Amino acid sequence: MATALLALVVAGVGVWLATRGSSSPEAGGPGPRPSATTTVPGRPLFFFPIDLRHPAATGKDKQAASDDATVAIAARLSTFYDTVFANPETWANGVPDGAWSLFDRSVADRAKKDADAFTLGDRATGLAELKVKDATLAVKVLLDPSGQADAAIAEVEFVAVGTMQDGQKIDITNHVSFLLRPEGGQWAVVGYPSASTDVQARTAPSPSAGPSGSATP
Amino acid sequence: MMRFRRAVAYWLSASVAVASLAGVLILIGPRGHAGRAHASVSTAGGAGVFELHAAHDGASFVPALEGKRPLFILALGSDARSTRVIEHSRSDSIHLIGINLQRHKASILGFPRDSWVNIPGHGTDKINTAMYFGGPALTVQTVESITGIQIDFWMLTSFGGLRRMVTGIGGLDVRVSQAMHDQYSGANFSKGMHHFNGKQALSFARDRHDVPGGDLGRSANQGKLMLSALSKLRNTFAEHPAELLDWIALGWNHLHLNFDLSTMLNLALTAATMSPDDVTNQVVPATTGTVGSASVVFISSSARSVYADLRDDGLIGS
Repeated sequence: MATALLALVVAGVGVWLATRGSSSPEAGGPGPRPSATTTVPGRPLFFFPIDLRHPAATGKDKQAASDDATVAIAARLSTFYDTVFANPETWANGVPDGAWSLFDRSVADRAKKDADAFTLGDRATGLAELKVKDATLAVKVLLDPSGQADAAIAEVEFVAVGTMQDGQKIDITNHVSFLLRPEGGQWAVVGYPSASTDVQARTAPSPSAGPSGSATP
Repeated sequence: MMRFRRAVAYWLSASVAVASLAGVLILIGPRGHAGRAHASVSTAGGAGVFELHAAHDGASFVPALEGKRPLFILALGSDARSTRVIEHSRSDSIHLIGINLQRHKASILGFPRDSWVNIPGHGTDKINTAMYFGGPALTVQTVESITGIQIDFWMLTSFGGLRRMVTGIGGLDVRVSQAMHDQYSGANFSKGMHHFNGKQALSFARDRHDVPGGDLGRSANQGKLMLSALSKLRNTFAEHPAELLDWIALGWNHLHLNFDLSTMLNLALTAATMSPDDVTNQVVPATTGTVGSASVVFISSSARSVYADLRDDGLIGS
């Protein structure tokens, strides 16, 4: 009886230990709990630091309206980048269709065809880890004469290092200019003057390389 | 209805919104889709839906205008000094811009300000008096009656507006084909490439005294400024797309227009992806003469074929 009880306690502790590891936040700080996207529990979500710029104003220069638009756009783009770059579910299963809701329906199909410019696409297959090295978002908002935001152009620089399951390191560089208009109460991408995602595998240094400066024949 | 605006008179920029001028419904956007960001241009004769077309290689998509029928814009420059009403002064710069949206090309046709023409309701006079008598609307009507071309939009700036716009975009690079030294306009340029600030650009646009062809040569130079601006817009947009919005805001604040901001944005996007090599610039064929003691310009009969060519597809000579 005592032995059986001990076995149950040990089993219970074992189960507790096994589940505790997968739910703890990753090093680097806690993030907001994931909500809409399927993601690894406890994974900090990616979010662009916001660069508030002086708006291009045609009438009332309302910085607050520009700031509000910038924050909203940052949120939209952060969700997109978190989904297409940082979410392990995407690495395994591909970009979810819902991610393309960032784009106005007039350009969504075109953007999907250009998916390799916006995402890792098939290049994410086998990815085990991704660390963001640098991410900048600069937003310029056009205010109409009444001070309402009419359009915006967001320029993104996103640099990351990925580690494949076999240990191969890859360098990821993404540059995109998004043209956005307010649509149905939220900002949508209606164009992209330029977009690219470049993935380069790191070459391991040659094992036969001698010490630098050695020139002895 | 005309609204008081200040912006760039010489850019091929604007955003086509749901607006009307002489019964034209303007829309922009991909075929078959609806949405706030989209509109299409249609005339009484048939629908031309403006679509989005892709620009250069790599992944790129710029919502430029496309449509079956050409778009026509009248660009005007007023001679109003600060104390006068811009829209009821004389228009010393008159350019009809045709845009072929299918081929993404354009043509600029200049009308010398001293062109001796019929002004509807006012008899025969210099074309620049049409705006004095009846504002931009009468100038539009005058050009329409001369050319048989239905004009969709007009835009108007002043001396000061042009100066501020050119200064605001950091100046323009222009090739001066012949040395210019004119006390009246202030033009003082050697032959060759120059980087004009706003004041210099205005002087270049105003000089007719030591320009071959006088008023005709001046009109050609004004078109040259437009092409320079288009080139700069295109280069700026390619390198720093967000600066397009600064251009739009600058133009908006220095132009009088008969269209709204959305229209301006969509036309700016169209212009920003148009190569200056795909834009022709010429002046209506004409000769100089006099009527009484007044120096005037007589438009040649051969201009009719130019109008027909332009009316057909928005382009001259292609």
